[in-house]
Amino acid sequence: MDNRTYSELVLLGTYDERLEYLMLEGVELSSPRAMSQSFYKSKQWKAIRESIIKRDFGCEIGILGIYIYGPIYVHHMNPITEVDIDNNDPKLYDPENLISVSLNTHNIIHYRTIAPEPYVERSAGDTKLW
Amino acid sequence: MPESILETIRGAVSLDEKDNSFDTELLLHINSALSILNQNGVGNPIIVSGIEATWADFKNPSQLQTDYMFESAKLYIFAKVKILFDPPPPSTGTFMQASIDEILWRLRESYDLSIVKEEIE
Repeated sequence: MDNRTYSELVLLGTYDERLEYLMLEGVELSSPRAMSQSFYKSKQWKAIRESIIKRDFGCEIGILGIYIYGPIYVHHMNPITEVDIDNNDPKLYDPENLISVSLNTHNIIHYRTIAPEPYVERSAGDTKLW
Repeated sequence: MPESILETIRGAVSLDEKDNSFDTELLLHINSALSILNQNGVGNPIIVSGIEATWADFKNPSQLQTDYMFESAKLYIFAKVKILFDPPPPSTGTFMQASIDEILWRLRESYDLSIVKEEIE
């Protein structure tokens, strides 16, 4: 799926629903560092980044009330490529393509590093190691 | 969304809409935000003391032309209460405060300036 939008995202109520919507299974961060570093240091990017964080109140996936502790990442919902950066494609700065996330959520979106833990029914004596 | 101001804000700060445990603190913050909005030309001057006060009470019928901005007024009250009731971490707090300031500026532009324009005309 390469047509995720902020307008569609905010219609989803819960963190899990929004995370599922944003999942990029197998799509890793791929643009070369030399290229992406200059992009992420550009004035245009810094300005849009700040406006997106303000729009989202600095909250996780735009859910008001779920604060981000630590650095705030502004994530491109539809992955960008070297060609996009080279051409200064409008989707780099499109607010419909951007959302504030935490590092943890960003890693889950790209790499799914944390699998949801299955629910385990508690039982008497389950704290014993052996 | 409930019509009661207090119940709306209870829900927005992640409390149950019927949970009145934190009403004393919430009412202080709500009334503070309402008074700031009113000083900036938004809505009627009201004091919320319970669940009876509704958004309709706050809405000023003579400001119908700026009705489209009323949801931003609700958002302002929510954000203002949230930042006082459940303060965010510093990294988020700076941006949250900036958003609140921007909403207030936009509300003032819409409500207060529309009054000035009418007076000039």
